[in-house]
Amino acid sequence: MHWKMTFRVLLTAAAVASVAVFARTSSGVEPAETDRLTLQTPNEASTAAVNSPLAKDGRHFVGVGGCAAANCHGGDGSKGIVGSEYSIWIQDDKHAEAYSVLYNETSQRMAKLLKLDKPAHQAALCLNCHAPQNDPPFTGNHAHGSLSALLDGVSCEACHGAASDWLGPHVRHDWARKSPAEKAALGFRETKNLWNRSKVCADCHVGEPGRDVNHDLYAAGHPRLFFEMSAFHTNMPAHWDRNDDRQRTGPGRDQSAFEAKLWAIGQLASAEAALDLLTHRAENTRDDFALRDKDAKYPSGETVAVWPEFAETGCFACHHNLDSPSWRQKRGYASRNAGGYPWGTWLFPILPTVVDSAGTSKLTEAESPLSKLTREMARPYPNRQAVISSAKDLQAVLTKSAQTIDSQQLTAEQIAGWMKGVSVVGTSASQQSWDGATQSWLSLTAIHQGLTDVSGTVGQTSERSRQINTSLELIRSHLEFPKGFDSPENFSSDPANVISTELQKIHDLLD
Amino acid sequence: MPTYFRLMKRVIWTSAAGLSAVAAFQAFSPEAPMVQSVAVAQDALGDSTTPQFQGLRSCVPCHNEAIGDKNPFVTMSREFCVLNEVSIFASDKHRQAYELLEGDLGKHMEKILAQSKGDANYKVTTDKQCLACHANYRWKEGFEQPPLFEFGVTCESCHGPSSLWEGPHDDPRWRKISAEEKEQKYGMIDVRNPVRRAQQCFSCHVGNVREGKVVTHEMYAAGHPPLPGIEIETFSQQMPTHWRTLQEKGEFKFREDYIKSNFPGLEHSPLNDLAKTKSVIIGGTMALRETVNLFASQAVDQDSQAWPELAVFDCSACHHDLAAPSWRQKRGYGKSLPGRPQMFAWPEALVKLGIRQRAGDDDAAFQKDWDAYHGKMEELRRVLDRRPFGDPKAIQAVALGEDGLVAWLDQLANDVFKSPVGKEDAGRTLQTLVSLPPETYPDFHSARQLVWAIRTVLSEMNTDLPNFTATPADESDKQAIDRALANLKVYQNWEAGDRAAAQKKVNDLLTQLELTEKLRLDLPAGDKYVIAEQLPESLKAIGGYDPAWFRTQLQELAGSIKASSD
Repeated sequence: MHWKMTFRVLLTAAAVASVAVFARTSSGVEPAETDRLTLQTPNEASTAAVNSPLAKDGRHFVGVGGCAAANCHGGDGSKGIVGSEYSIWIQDDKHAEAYSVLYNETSQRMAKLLKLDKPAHQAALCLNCHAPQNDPPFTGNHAHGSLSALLDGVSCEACHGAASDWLGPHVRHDWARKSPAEKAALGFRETKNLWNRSKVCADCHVGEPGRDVNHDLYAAGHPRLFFEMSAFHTNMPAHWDRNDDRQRTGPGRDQSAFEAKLWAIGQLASAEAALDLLTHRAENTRDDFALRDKDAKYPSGETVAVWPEFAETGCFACHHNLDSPSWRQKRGYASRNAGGYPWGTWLFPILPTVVDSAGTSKLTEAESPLSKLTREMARPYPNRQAVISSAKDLQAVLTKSAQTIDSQQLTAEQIAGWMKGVSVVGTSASQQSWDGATQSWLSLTAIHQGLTDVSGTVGQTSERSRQINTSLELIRSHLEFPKGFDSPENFSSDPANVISTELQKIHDLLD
Repeated sequence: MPTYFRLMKRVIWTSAAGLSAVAAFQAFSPEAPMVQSVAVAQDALGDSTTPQFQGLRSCVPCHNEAIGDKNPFVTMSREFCVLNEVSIFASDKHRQAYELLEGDLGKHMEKILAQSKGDANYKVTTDKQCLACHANYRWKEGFEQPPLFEFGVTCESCHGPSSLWEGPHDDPRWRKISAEEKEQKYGMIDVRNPVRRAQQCFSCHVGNVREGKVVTHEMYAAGHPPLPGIEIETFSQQMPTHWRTLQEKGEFKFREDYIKSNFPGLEHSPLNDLAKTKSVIIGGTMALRETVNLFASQAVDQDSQAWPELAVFDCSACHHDLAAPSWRQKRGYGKSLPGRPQMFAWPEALVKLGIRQRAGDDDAAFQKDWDAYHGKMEELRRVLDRRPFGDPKAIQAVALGEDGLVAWLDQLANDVFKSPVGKEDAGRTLQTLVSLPPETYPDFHSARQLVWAIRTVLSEMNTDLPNFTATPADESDKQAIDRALANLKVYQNWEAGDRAAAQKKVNDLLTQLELTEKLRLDLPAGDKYVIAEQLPESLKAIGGYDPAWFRTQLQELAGSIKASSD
């Protein structure tokens, strides 16, 4: 709490300072070349890890100061959301605290347990997500020697792209006329397209090379990554007009399939990002890595790809106290060997519903890339080449499915079909794991919202919606972790059966 | 005594007594090859120079006496062994080993394994991997099942296949033959040697690849109860024991010859050893030896489907509910990376006792040895830490190499075997057990190792041996029989009197400190308990165990022991 307060003060100071810097730009005066905010890149930038999305082609972060002017994005809300983006972020958005948590007890302990060569708030391993403006990436260097830049945490440019090349053009009158491709060429990340938006979130919340929250980090104390696009999107304080999203997705503002589409594309994009990371892990395995020597350190400036990577597997498949009688034995092990690893329990259980509906591929078939991957990853030491090959095939399927769904104008019938699909897939997924049950619940919540929206019945709850909400609420209550636990200690066949029953009810309501 | 065995004895006696008698009374001297004498007793099981399993039936006729029975044919032996071994074994859990496969849990596992292996006809009762331990069958081509396999783990499982030694072993002159010869030539395993005995027990209770005795993670996931950490003396005592130690036997015919040929390399008389304490120390070393041996034997080619075998890694390192806040994170991961599978910790819990015993009071020697041991463990951990499950080839080299950890532990166990273990040594052992280095947080199974060891050593230290009648000169055969029976009575009184009292004193102390209950020190041994039925409680105990609590209790225990010895 103390730190948080201190940072708020510092951040406010930083904001005030940046307002002064920006006074000229925002009043429309073209700054002289030397005054440009394209600050000099440190020499290290040229040696920054190549081939990493974090390298951003040598561009660098300008800092929130470049955005926070009252006349730009730092409005007081009286202008509406548009114009107050920075203010909403700094006041309400957890992303603004991303850096300051690196000073807390958990982070300090993590650095100690991992034997990082720097404290968490200086290690690129942490900063690449918690303050991506560390520059050049992988070094943990403070951006341009200024602490305030790191204090920004996950700020505007973390999602919208390093602004050194686009901030200038962005404030010009002709910015709106630039095509997405032109903007992208300047390093601006387009986030209106739902696939792009999901991928931006997934960069950290699922991970990518250089931002790999692996099992080493979990065991040291990092909270689990539990990303589900529609839920996270709903919970993030919006610094954009949600009606614009609804309008864009259509059919119209008052009648929009947005929530359903975001869910479907979010599912595909998250899984695709996870496969990218999986491929990276398999391709870059370091098997000579140990910290036993007295002076050995966990390299804080590079990613450590570990094989096999336990973070790929459902946490609670292993992490449960052994119990007798065992509901897991009673439940059985689906298609995998008894004692094999259940891979991808979080991001993949519902996926076949989306892909099958896009007509791209049948993921449930025995020889589908998903089935092959699941089988190989069930082994304690999966064959990396086999994994890479299936992962790439599956990535192609997911990308294609997303394109198909993105191009479609979703109908109520199609969305109801998804709900029914999820309630069927969810029944077996819930019997298998807490992960499956929770994904089913999150998915149904999002799609149900989409279904209500697209039917134009927001605000006039139908009996069917009321009943579905009751079922969803009952499911949620069975998913909570007991006090003192960070795992579903009491999740077993009883809650799973309740959840299955409710899923069946939802399914029947949609007939 | 179960009538079943009585009935069996009667049936078998008539058919087998003739053969036994032929073997027993045949002219016998160490020079005459005993193989000839047992040829008649052999089934047509194979060639006559390879020991074969004969099953329980060959042991029952002699070893099935109820305590107090007098069997005129075999009384001469009673001074050496009580001959009630089979009757005691009748209530031994090992007898259930095969029945369990046919029971509810066996059926439950069979169903899951059939699906897991994709074989609808899969049967646990014919799976070599199950029978290897549950019927102790060393599989031989052409045999479906071993003789009388349905009695589970029986005499020959531990004592070795008896076809070649069944005949000669009931002649007292058998005692003059060296342990090595008994095993090499006749197939009788020297379970009186604590090193060899530990190896025998651990072959199932830890696992042994060469003997095909391996519990897999697939079996665990199908419902096999987790193999608990085993402390050799505690498990032996609770079997219950069907033997007496050398010290508990009193005098017997050819005792000096027996000691000479069966305790090679000893410069002291093993009669002066505290046998159980010695066994605890040796068992502690052998537990790690066998664990590492299993671990390394399974570390084969990394592309093999069989590697890594999760079952050789510490269950609770992964299998624990995630707590917030987490004591594991608070405790830290030592030199290891967080998040990597670890070897079981319990087999390391008692190795220090062996190192201390070998060094005696020489602290410098102890430190040197201790550092050497740590160096070896460190090497193993280093290759294990390189990546999850370690680097299999490097593990093999470090563990099984000429100068490897297994060889080092072998040497340690054998050195301890040769060293005298008196009361002073037991005191030192006890001191080592209760002094936990700071910042050490033993897991549930390691804690049990420590307390089990303390319990055995403390009770043995506090019990003087029984007063047996010595052999007078010119003793007639009749007098010898009377003396053997009298000494047996002395032993039985001592067992129920002095020893029971000493054990009770220690047990009361442990109960008072809640160690008995929370560490579940009393095993579900014997035929009264079913392990599967006790699992809910024992797994809860493991899940609810708190290492910080154990540290406190151990300190209390150390205090109480010190107070009572002052």
